[in-house]
Amino acid sequence: MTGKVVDVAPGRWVTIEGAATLVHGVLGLGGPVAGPFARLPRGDSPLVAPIIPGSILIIPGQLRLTVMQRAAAGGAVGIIAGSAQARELEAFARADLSVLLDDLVPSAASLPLTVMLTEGLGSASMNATAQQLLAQRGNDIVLLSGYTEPHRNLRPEVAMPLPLGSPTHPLPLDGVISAGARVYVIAGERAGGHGVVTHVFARRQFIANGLLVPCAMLRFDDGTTAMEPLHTLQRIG
Amino acid sequence: MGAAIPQERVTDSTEQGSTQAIRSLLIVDCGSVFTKVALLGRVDGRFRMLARAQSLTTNMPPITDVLVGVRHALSEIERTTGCTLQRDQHIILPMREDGTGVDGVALVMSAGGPLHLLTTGPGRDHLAALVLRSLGGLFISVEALPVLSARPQPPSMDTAFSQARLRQPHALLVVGQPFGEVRPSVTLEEATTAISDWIARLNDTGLAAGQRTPVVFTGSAREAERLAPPLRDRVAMQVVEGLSPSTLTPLNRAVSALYEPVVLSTLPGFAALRQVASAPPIATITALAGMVRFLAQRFETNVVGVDVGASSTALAGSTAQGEFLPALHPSAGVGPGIGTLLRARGAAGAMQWLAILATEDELREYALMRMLRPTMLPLTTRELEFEYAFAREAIQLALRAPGARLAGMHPMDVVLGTGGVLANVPHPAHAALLLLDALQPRGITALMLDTAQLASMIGSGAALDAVRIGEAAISDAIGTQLATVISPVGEVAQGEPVVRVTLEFASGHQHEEEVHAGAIARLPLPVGEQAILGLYPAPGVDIGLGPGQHAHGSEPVEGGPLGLVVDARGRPLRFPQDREARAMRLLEWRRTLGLEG
Repeated sequence: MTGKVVDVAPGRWVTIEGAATLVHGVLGLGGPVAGPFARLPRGDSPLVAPIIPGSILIIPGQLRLTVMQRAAAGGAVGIIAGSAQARELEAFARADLSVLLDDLVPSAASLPLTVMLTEGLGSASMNATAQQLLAQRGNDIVLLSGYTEPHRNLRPEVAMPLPLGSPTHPLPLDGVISAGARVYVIAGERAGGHGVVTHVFARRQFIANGLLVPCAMLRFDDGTTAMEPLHTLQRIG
Repeated sequence: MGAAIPQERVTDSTEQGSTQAIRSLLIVDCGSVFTKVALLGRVDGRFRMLARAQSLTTNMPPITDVLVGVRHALSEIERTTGCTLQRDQHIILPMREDGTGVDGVALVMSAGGPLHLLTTGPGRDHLAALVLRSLGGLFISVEALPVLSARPQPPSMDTAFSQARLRQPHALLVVGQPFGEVRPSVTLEEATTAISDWIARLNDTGLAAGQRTPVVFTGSAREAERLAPPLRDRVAMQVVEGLSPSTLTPLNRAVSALYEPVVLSTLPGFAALRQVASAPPIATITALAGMVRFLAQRFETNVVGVDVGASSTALAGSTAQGEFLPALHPSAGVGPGIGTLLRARGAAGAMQWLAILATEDELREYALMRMLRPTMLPLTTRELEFEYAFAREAIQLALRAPGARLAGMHPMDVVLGTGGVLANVPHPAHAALLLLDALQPRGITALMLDTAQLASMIGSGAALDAVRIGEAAISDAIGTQLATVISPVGEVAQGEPVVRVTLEFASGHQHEEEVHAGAIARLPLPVGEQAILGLYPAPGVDIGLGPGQHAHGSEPVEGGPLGLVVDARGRPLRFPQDREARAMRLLEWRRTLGLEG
C-alpha cells in the first residue's frame, strides 16, 4: 500500500493514510486479502486458464461454483466478479446467505478465498465503470475485503492505492439526487447505464408495475433520455 | 451535522404540556429504512394532516445522523406546503405569530431495532406464558440466556455465548421462582452465575466495558436480596413485583422504560432529535396500538391494524371491550427483515402465494437482494408479486410469534392496513387480497386502507393533545374503505352454494347473487353508495352469527372501490397441490377483484 503510516499498534496493526480508488460491491464473502489482479487471457475459459497463486482474479461475468473451487485450489486469494447464483455461493461458503447477511454467525472468515460481486446475486455482468477501473490498475497490489453487513451498510470493497500526491475527487457525502448529479443506474432495464439528472419530479410517478415512486429524468451518456425511479440511482458525481 | 441544538425556542419549556391546545404538530417516524414526517394542523376548524414526506433514514454510513434524514423530509414538506418549519437547520418551536414553526414534535421510532432481551431465572420456563403476555405489544425480542450447569463449561457453551452475543443483547430479564412446589430448571444461583459469566464475556470483547448491564428482576424481595450481592457494581438492577395474571403491568413498564435509554440513545443523532421532541418517543407498534385502541373505543367495534414494515411486522388488535391483542414480529419484514422470513418459512412458504411460475431459487435470490439493497422497491410486476407474497408471510409469522394473541380474534370487524407496503399498492385489490389471505377473517369485515400512512404514526401525538389527534386520526388515518367483506365458514363441497347475498339499494334496485364454495365474488356497491345487505347461508355455514343463521341488515353497508366482496374460499385457505393449478386459482381470484393477473 502506498501511503503514510499514522498509527502503529505493535504486534497488532498499522494504520496507513493515503489516497485510493474504492470500488464497492453489492455482496461479498471472506476477510481482507491483498494481491495483484489477474485477468484471464482473452478467450480463455476460467475452467482451464492457469491460476496465479496469491492473485485476485477478475471474472467480468457470472461466477460459477467450479471456478471458485478451482481458484481456491490454485491458490488465488480473491475473486472479483459481476454476479453469482445464491445457491452456488452458498455451496462454496457452506453457509446460508441470509444467516451471514444478518450476522447471526461469525462471518465466513475461514473461506479459502475472498469473493466480491459487483452486481450481487443473479447473472448480471460487471458494470462497465467497475470493469474500466479494475482494468486500469494492471498488476498493482490491491486490498480486497468481502465483509458484507447490510444492517450497517458495510459493503465489500476493493481498495486500489493511488501514488502519493495523486489528485482525488471525493464524492458528495449525502448522495442526494438532484438536477445536474451524475448517476449510475443499479437496477431495472437500464441497469449499468450512466447519465446526468435533468430534473427530479416534484410528484411521484407511475412505473411499469403500477407503483407510484419518486422519479428523476435522466439524460444517458448515449444521448437518450428516460425516467428512472430514484431508488435505482446511485450518485457518482 | 446535528451538532447544534436543533430547535429554536422562544421559551425555556422543553416539553409541551399535555393539556395545552396545539395548533400544529410534526410527527417524525424514523423507520429502519425510511424516515417519514407528517405535518398536522388546522383546516376549516378541524385538525388534519397537511402534508407528508419521506426520506432515507440516515443512521448508518456514509451518513450517521438521523437528523439529516429528518431534515430532508422536513425540507420536502416546506417545499410542498410553503410553510417555514426550520431556520438555520433548527426546527422552530413553538409556532410563531407569523405561522412559522410548529407547536410540538412527536417521535415514533423503529430505527435501531427492537430491545433485545435475554431471559433467565428459576421461573423462566414455568412463567414463560406470563412473561410473553406481560411484554406483548412492546418492541422487543426475547431469547433465552444460555444456562450453565457444569464447570468447566463445555465447548458448546462458547458457541451458545457467541451466538447470543451476535444478537447484541441490550438487557437481561431474571424471572424469580414461581409459586408452589415447582421444580425450576435453573436455580437462582445458576442464573446468577450465568449472568456473571455473560457479563464477563461481554467485558472480554469490550462490548460492555465500563457499562452496567441493565437487569430486570421479577420476583420476591427475598430472592432479589439473594441475587443482588454477587452482581453488585456490575449490573443496573431493577426489581419489580413477581409475575401473576394480575401483576403483568410492573414488568411491562420496567422493560418498556429501557427502550429509550438502552436502544434509542445509541442511534447516531438521536440525542439531538430527542431534544426537539415534545413527548417521549414510542415504538411503531405502540403508536399503532394507540390508534387501534382509540378506534375500537370510539366506534365500539373490534379493530385490527396491520403494518408490514421493512424490518418488522406489527399487528395490533383491540376489542370493543378494550382488550388489547398484539402480534408483533420484531425482525420479520419485506426489507432487511426478509431474511427472517426465509429462515422461518423458507422460500417455499412465499411460493404458495404466487400466481406466476417461479423457481425457489429465483424467489430466494430476490429476497437476498432485498436484504442487500433495503431501499430498493419492486421494479417489475414479477418483483411486486414476490414482494406481496413475502408480505403475506410476514403477517402470518407475526400472528404466530411468541406472545402474539391476535390470531384467535373473531370477528375482525374492521381491518386497517397501513405502512408503505399496503398503502402504496397499484390497485386496491392487491391490499384487500393481501389482508384477506394473511388474516383470513371470518364473518363480516370492513377492510380499510390508510393511504396516508398515518395510523402507525399518529398515536405518538396523543400525549400532546389527544382531542386533536383523535380528530386527525378519524379524518386522515382511517383512509379508504376498500370493501365490506363477507367470509362464510363451513364444510361445503367445492362449487356448491355457500351463501345467497342480496343488496337493496335506496333507489329500490335489488341485486341478488349466489356464491359458491372456493370462489371470491364481487358485488356492485360503488364508492359513495349504500345498500341493505341480506345474507342467507347454506345449512351449517356460519357468516358470523352461528351456523345456518341468516342476516338482514337494519343499517346499510358502505360501498368501496371493490364493492361488496364475498370470500367463500373457506378457512383455512386451501390451495391445489399442483403449481400450475394453484397459480390458475390465484389468478381467477385476482381477476374477480379487478386485477389483470
